[in-house]
Formats: sequence, structure tokens, C-alpha cells
Amino acid sequence: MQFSVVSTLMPRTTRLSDTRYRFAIVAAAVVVLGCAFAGLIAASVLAAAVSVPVIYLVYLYDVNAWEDAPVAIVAAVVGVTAVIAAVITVLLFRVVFEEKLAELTNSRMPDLGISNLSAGSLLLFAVVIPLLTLALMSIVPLVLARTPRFDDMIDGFTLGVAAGVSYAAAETIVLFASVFSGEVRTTDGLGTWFPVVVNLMVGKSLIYGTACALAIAAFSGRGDGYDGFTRHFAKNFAFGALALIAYWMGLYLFAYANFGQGIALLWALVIVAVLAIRARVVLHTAIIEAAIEDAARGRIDRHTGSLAYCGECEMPLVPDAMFCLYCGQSVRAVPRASGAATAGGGEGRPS
Amino acid sequence: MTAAARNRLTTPVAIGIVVSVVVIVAGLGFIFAMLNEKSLDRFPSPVAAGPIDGAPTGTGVVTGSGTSTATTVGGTTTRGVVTTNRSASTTARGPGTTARAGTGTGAVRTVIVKLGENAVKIVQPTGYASKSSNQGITLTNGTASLYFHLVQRTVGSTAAAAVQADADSTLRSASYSQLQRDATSELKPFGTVTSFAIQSYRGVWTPTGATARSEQGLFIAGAKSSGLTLHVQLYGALGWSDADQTWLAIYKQAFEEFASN
Repeated sequence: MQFSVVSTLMPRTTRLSDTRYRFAIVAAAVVVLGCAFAGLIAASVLAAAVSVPVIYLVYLYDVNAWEDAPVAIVAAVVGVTAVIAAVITVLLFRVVFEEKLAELTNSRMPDLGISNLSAGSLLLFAVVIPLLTLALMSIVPLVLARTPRFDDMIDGFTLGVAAGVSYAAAETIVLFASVFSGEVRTTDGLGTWFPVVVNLMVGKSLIYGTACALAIAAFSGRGDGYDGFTRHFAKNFAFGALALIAYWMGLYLFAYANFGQGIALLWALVIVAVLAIRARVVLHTAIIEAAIEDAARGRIDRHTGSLAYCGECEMPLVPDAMFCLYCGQSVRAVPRASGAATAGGGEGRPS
Repeated sequence: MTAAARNRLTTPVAIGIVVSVVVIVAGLGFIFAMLNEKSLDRFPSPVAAGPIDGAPTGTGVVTGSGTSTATTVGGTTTRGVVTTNRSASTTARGPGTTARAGTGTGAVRTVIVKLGENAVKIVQPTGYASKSSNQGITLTNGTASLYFHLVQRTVGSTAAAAVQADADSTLRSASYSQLQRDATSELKPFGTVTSFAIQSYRGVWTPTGATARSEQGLFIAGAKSSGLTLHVQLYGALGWSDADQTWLAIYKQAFEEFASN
């Protein structure tokens, strides 16, 4: 199983366009690191925060996702999610739990080390808030995934990535707002900032994006309509939440190690790889569903005007096919009652 | 929706758009930081920060006792210890400030930084938590923290050298960027303190990569002729003009106590 991140998060890319986004990420990273190298920390952090969302928006336009009507959708997913992120981050980190955050990040008595860490604050910022974060970034894509136009698994995945990366960007800008009030150009701590900005750009964005995508894709599910809050959704939501918790735990705990920021970056990349592998498994199904549905819709006019779904795997059935293209289930062998139910759009499924 | 994936953009155009937008955003970040920097020209001077100018006249000496020793030795220094004690409601006031500590009827803790036979009692006002280590003690109220420790330096060493050493060892580039350090200022000694110095700084504290925050702080040291030196580091997201400068009263009281023995 591969963990090629670009083709995973951008499943509609071809081999050629896949390469173009790899170059786009490298080019954006050059800008981000160039600013950091020049000591322009504020510029570097801001560029790091927005790079992946910008690349994803260009990708959505490039592949013509959602057939020429992406503006409202993108505005809803990216814009609203970013606003939610900014408001919640200010509220949690700068108002309600500001003292707790100071307690967690100010623990620097020289001879105490990690034993000085506040367990309560760590639990709050590395477990509770990441859980809340994943729930909040999922709101807009969940609303959209309930609509017939975006209820496919691949749509849910794409909406989840867009929401996750925009949440990460807005959260980063709020959490690092202090860099806008210091010296414009600095020579201090640049070695620290290189891993930090790369982590913000690549690690955090991709972890948030993939974690949210997994949850929303599971909500969409296979077949007609969306699956909703099933056990499958809970499992994938928990997987995404664990990834966020692992990421934040790493950030806070590795701070006590030498070269902690560098170790935290490596840790984030490991989490990205694990998430990418999981996402490939989900996408394998999603892409086949989209392809079969595409093929089926091309032949649908001669029939009832609606798609039928396999009673075994819930994949779309190509009209006149004797077998499900995904699982091989014989369509003709399906009992009459079951066949009637699945032909009508799948039993017990929200429409 | 369908899986159609005809690309609208060519590779150069796609990369060009991404790079252009990222560069523009980075430029906005640069401009915003530049505009914001101008509004922060008021660098906190030692006077604005409110250190002691000559002998402090506060009245906040706190009674209390109790010891637990844990002494370590390192280089020219011998570090000492902290004990805590509760006393009845006590106030520590610094002259010319609005600082209050232990107002009302609530109990006020005292903590003791100790080195050998030497000890300094420090008031811990309501709202401050304390945490001790082998080297010293930190009082914090969530936004401001004060770290106290006693050090036995070589006879005749100055407080200015102590302050400089503290600043150099603490303000490491692994944790700080955009640092602005004031020059070390020698202040008028008082009581048994023969040398007294202070240095202020401001920077962006980035301990973990999880967040960053602006921090202002002071390094203060008072040395006796014997070489015994009380070090204080004050740090946090401080507002130098804040009306409630409780931290000012705390370290004034500590130096007052230190200089009285």
C-alpha cells in the first residue's frame, strides 16, 4: 500500500496533474522556507498556513470538481470552516483557557524538565481540544454530505480535506499571531523556525485534512444517499481523532527534548503517512464507486432514470449487468424482495 | 457526482497561481508585521517596568518558617531551596504602585528560597501558584511568572554579571526569536545589597511549535559583598502599564527581605 500524499488527497488527479501539484507544494515550500531563511517569520508563518489550502483550491478548480459550481461550495467549506476555526481558537486558547495554555507552555524551571508538565493542561490541549477540533471542522462538510449532490464517498472525502486544511490554516494564524507583533526581521531562533514552519505547512495541514476526510467519507458511505452516523463513521472519526491527539501530544511532549521541534516534525510526517495509508484504503472503494456510477449514468436514460445498487456491497450497478462490478455478486441471483429493495436505492438508507 | 477529471489548467499555470498567491500572502504577512512593529516602539525600559530605584520601602515582610533542604552545587554557585508556609493575611506593597497582595481576609502563603544558612522569604499572594525545584521557586498567576533562586557567586562578583549570565543562558535561540534585549542597567544598591542590576527583554516564545506568544521579561539580581546573589526572572505576556502589577510588589518585597539581613 502506498502513502503517496498528493494522489491520496487529490484523488481526481491523473499522473500528469499529480506531478504538477507535487511541484506546486515544493514551490510553496521554497517561498515559506525562503522567508524563514531571510528572518521574515511573520511572512513565513502566514505563507505556511495558507499554502496547502491554496493548492487544494487550485486543484478543485483544475479538475472541475462539482461541475462548474464550485464557488459557493468552496466558500461554504473553506470560508465558513475557517471562520469557525478562528472564533473557536481565540475563544479556547486566548480567552477561556489562556492560563492553562501558559501553564503548559511556560513550564520551564531549569531542573524539573518534563516532571514539571501539568497533566491537566496536557489532557485539555492534547486530547479534549483536538477531539473538539475534529468535530468542529466536520460540521460544514457533514451538512453538505447530506445533500444528494455531494453524498458520494469521494465527495465526502474531498469536502473533508478542504475543511480540514482550512481549519488548520485559520487555527495556525491565530495561535501564531504573536509573530506579527515582534521584529519584522530577526536573526534569532531561525533554526527553530525551519522545522516549525514545515510542520505547520505540511504536517498539520495534511493531518487535519486527512483526518477530517476520513470521517466525512465514512459518513457518506457507499451506495445511494449517505450512510450517516454509523459505526463505520464512529470508527473513522475515532481514527482521525487519534491522529490529531497524537500530533498535539507530540508537539507538547517533544518540546522537552533536544531538537524537539525537529522531532515533532518527523512525528507529524509519520502520522501523515499512517493517515495516507488509511485514506488509500477508503479511496480505493470511493473511486471505484465513482467510476461505476459514472459508467452506469452514461447508460441510464434508456431505463428508469435512477441507479440501482448492489445488495451485497452497495456499489452502483451498471444497467443490464448480470454481476456487480465491485464484488461480483450475481444481480439475477438476488432474491426478488432484496432485489426490489436495492433497485429502489438501497434499503434502510437515507435518501 | 461523476468522476470526470478533465484538467482546466496547464502545469505552469497551476504552479504559477499557487506561487503567486503564496507570495502575495507572505507579502501581506510582512506588511502587517511591519505596521504592527511600529505600534510597539515603546520598548519597556527598566523604569517603566518598575524596578527598585534605590532602597525599596515596601512593608510586605512576611513572617513564616519551615525548611526543607535540597542543595545542589554547580560551578561557582550553590543553589538552594524552597519551603512554604502559611501566615495570616499579609500585604506586600511597593511604593508608588497599585500592586496588592493578599487583600481581604484570605490567607497568604509564604515561600522561602534557601541556600545554606541563608534564606529569603517571598510572599505568595492570592491568585499565584508556586512550584519549587532544587534550584529555586516559581510563582505564577497564569500570565506573569517569577522565578527566584539564590546563588553563591564568587566574592566581589557583580549583579550585572549575574544578570548577563542569566539572560544569556535563558534567552536561547531554541526557544526565542525576534528578541529585543535592553542593556543591563546598574541600579542604586541598598541595605546589605552592594550591587543591583536589571535587564529587560522582549521576544516571541516558541517552545513547541504548537503556538507562539509574545513575551516580555526582566532579569534582576542583587548581590551582597559575600557573593550571595538573589536572582529573579520575571516573564510572561505582561502589560508593563497594567494597573495590577502584583508581580512588582512580589519581587520588591523579596529584595527588601534579602537586603535586610
